[in-house]
Amino acid sequence: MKLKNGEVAAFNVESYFHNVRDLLSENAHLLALVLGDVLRKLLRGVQIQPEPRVLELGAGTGFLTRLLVTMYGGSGALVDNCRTSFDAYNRIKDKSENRITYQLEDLFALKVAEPFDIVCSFGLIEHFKEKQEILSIHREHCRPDGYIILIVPMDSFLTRAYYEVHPEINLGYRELLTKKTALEQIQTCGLQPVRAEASQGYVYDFLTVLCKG
Amino acid sequence: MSMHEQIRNFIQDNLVVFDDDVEFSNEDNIFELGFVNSLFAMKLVTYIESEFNTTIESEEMDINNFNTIDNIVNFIHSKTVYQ
Repeated sequence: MKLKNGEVAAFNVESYFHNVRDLLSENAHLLALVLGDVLRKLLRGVQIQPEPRVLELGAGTGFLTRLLVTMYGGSGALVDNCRTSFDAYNRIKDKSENRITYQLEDLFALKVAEPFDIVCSFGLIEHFKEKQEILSIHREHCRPDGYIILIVPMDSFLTRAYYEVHPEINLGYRELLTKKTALEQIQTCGLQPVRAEASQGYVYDFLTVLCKG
Repeated sequence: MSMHEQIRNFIQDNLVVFDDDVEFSNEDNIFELGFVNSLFAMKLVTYIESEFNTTIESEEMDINNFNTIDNIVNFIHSKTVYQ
């Protein structure tokens, strides 16, 4: 690149790449604000059971449930078969999270005594090409008058850029969905979407979908 | 109690560090210091809405409105001025 004074500016591709990576890197505090905002829009006017019992499938560190419990009270059950996520959860949980339990288990083998008021997942269903079975598990553990919250990374320029500069997290199958295709797939699998809201202002875009149990 | 003190007390009640000597100024970025957990931002939003009888809109969910005591107080003042 030539500057006004005629000098040629050095362009370091590696440095540029790392700057973009830093710019588009996860920020838990920002995620709490953006996710909290989109959840409020998603659940506006919806009658949530007081002190809801929340089940999160493929929970990772349970960020979604921890935020829901912070916002709406109640209790949470996290299920994931990943030991690394379980250990990470135990490192970050604080005393106020004693209303949350963690089951280190395959979600497809999960047995619960009583269905939940809210069943949710964040970044799960996009890893399944055929979504019938994984969505059935959500419904199976949800009360008939309860709600299912599905959150997936949305197909957008920003999301594609995010995954492009973070190749280390591109492990296995991941299908980015537009709002239209996500709703079509969810309906095809027999769930009833009530509302869908897209995030605004995070380092990638994600779509939240509320369905009847 | 001043609004600065009120906000400081709320932050101190939610610290995730157990050091009695934790100190931070009104200009310190509470998120970067690591004194609060990742859910605190949303807890703070809920607190501001209930305590100061206001509604925080989507476009105001900017982390820069909530990262220092000064910024939080200025944000609350801006809300009450325009109400």
